[in-house]
Amino acid sequence: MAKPYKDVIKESEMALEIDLAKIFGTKARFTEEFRQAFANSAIQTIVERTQEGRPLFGNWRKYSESYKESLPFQAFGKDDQVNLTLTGDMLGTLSVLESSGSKVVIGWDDPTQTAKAFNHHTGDTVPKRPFFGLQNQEINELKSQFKDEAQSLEPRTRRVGDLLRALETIDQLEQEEGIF
Amino acid sequence: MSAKVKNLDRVFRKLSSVLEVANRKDVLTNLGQFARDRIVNTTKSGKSLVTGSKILGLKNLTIKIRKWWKEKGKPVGRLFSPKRSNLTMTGQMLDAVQFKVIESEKKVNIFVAPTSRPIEGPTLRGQRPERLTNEQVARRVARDGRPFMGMDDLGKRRMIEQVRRVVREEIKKQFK
Repeated sequence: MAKPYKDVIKESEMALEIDLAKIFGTKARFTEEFRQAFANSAIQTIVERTQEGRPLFGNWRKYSESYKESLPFQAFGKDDQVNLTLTGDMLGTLSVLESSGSKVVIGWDDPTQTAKAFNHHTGDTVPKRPFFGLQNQEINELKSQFKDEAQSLEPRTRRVGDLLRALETIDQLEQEEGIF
Repeated sequence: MSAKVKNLDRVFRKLSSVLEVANRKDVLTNLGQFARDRIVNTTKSGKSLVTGSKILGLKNLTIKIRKWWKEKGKPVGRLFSPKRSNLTMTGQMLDAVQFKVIESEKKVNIFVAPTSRPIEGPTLRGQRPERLTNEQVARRVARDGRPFMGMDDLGKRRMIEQVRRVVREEIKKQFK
């Protein structure tokens, strides 16, 4: 199956642009809450798979002995399982970058984490450990999770409106803290 | 100098309000734990979240004392090493870093508890042991150029992102 998403894999930009119309084969009007919920599930899929030690494809090389003996490795209580998680900052900041129409874009907007993700995914200066993307099976699972809602054009409930406003509050907080 | 994290008050206040809307105030506990662990682990790795750089190095005399302490088989904390500057000797101070959720005030306090220190550190000849609490040791350590009780921008982002994900999960639950 051709990927229903476009991946950007560069040191300065790591992003997946997911086309919901292609996934669901519909020209339905996707609501903001649907896009947010779907994007979140896509992020969870990538993060959980990676933290369970499963590559996007191929195999991951084990950690070197020198890395395992390093202070950061020990300070953050890591074990032998390769999961691209030391401080957790890289996977913990994978986020929704854009959401409009039938598209959602997930990736990083922090240059340090972007470079880290690029490095791990491509093996630039560390062993190559591909993780950033969605497998066909994962796409099918996401499609299955959301297929009923994809057809829905019902107006949002009041509670969803409150939750969407809560997301805006979070965006404002990032601006106030100067960390967007 | 503070033995309490101060630069998270606004973040916790706003996130607490958001979590109230999402009906997930339980997540505040996770955030407190995350912040506490990040401070301790980063400090143990030799870096300060307050300054963003390596913790100030140790003086030669201090290194000698620490070597002596280890050679005598005295108790040492996790990741202690005589020359390593990571605010670890007996391990009691960093073990005393705690968090407490105060729901009514929409706050999470992260602080070094004013607990006693059963393991006495080395004292110089002729001096009496000071019997400081862990909180007092933390204040002294920060005053002497090694502040550690704070959160970096990336840590704040991690916390904010955790709450975003929770809100998105709640949005998904609203689908019929």
